[in-house]
Amino acid sequence: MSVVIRVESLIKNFPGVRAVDGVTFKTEDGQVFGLLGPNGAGKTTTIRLILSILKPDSGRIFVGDVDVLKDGAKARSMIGAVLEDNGLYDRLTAFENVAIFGEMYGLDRTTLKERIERLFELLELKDVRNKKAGSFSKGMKQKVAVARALVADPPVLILDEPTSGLDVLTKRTILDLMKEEKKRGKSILYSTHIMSEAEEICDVIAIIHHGRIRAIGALQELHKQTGKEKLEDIFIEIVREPYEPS
Amino acid sequence: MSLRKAFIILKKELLNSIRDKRIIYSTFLVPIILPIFMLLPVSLTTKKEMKLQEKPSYIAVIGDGDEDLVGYLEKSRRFRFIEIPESPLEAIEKERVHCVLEIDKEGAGVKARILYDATRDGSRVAMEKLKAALLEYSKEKAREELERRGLSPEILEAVKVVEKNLVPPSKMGGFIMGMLLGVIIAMVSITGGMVVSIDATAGEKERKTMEVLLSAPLTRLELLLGKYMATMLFAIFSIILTVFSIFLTFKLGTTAFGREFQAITSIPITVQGFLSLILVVIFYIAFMASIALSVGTFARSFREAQNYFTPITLVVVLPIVFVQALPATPGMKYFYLPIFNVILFTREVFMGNLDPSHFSATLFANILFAYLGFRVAYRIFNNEKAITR
Repeated sequence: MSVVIRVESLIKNFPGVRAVDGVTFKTEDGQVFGLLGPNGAGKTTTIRLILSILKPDSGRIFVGDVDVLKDGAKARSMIGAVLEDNGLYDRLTAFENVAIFGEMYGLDRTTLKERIERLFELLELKDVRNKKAGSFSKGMKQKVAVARALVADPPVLILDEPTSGLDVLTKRTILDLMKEEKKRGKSILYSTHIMSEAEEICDVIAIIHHGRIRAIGALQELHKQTGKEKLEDIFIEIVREPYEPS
Repeated sequence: MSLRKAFIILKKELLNSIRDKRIIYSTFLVPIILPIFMLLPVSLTTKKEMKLQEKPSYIAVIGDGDEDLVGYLEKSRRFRFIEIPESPLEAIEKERVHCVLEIDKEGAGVKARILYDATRDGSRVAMEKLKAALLEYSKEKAREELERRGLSPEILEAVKVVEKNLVPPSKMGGFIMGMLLGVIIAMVSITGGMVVSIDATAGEKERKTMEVLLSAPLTRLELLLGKYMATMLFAIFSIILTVFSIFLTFKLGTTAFGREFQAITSIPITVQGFLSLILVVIFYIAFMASIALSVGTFARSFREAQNYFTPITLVVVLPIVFVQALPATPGMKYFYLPIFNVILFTREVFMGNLDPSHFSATLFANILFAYLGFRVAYRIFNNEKAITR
């Protein structure tokens, strides 16, 4: 069964501001869907709504055929998420941080151990397996957070600015891993404000600004739409277009 | 709702908490140390006073002198007499004597002034001993005089006062121990789980781990239940440690706590009473855990939550103060009031007076408050403004 994210006419208001304004999109299997926008554009709020951390004022969200608003926990059981903050428990070891989440997804002990060992191998975390996360560098913490998102091998991945502030090597490891996951048929929602990353990894890009999706399509389609070559120019062209806030 | 998932959260909270020094300190160390620090000085002071009572006190006699009186005091073997060249205050300060007896002859009688230092235990005890001995001497002299005049010395005691406590020492022990433990349970139920609950709510928000937990495949109810169980478990553990520490302190200082306390090993508590108390206390802890989690979830940070807890702890302390002023057999309404009912019911159980109607009222009230408290905590936990701020 195809498990994708489907978002329809999503609206979320905060006091004095509409953070998400009628956002509609659908991801596909084996595809990286990029949510590209400047800081404060509504990317993180959209992700929080999909994960049912926040409730929308209107609109609908589906993960596979599960209505997120009706059964958020079931929808989340199909999602692995790397959020803006790595959210690691400093007093737990790298292994414990990942294992606790694996257990929440219902993995048995043997499978859990095998998966963690494989992921730690891939992410070069074997040496810090039993060290407390509080002593890790930002890059190492982010790699553990990625392992935590992947441990249950969920069909959908959501990554919110996963490479922000990381060194080149860690960034490369994470991007390569995401490409692998895409090849394995996963549907990936990738939020970023880094143009080069979006160009490299995303199959479809949604440009979001002031809570509204201003353009959506493959990179070639966005080229055609704006007549611009580089994604950065496309992005500037689109966000500068006048629009009527609702 | 999956209990298995709630237990995973419980496991995570336990693992995370036992590695936190603040939690170790508040849950394990304070409950062990506090009763020892509170009760041991009392025990040591009493022991010291008992020793001082047994040993002879050193006194000096100044003024006119009275051979008969001094002879009487010497015979009692409760005093040793020292001559002092310095002033009475100096002699007491240099610890040459415990107190000074100044005698002035007034006609046929004698005026005896006891000069002592109330800030010194030895001086205070010597004064009391000396006062008692002088009264005995005075009585003795009056008796002799009455006999010499052919009158019965019985007229000296128009009223014979005899004290008799009808309550056995074990029941007195139960009363004191029950009151003490009731107060401890009322307090430690909130303080024992406080740091864990703050860490699991406001602490998680502050460290940005809450959002990751919320993105996991758990319902809010499972998440809250796991944190709730962790808070309760730490409070229970804290109470057990405190009670253990109190008993240990009494055991160590057993001779010094008086007859009532010495009877703690034979407190008339029944199995039925003990089990009823456990049931009541569990629901009371559940109520306190829900308050702790509600406050923790509402607060933005660890420090903010701690600030909220200060007035809450005072709210718990207030009934403790009022309970002291209640009559020995308080009305039924007090058993419907949380905090009050736990203290009063604990006292009843330890005195061996288990009243089924008091038990039913206390249990009912605590179940009701625990349920309502959990509903409030769940509501706050479900409030996106509170959980994400």
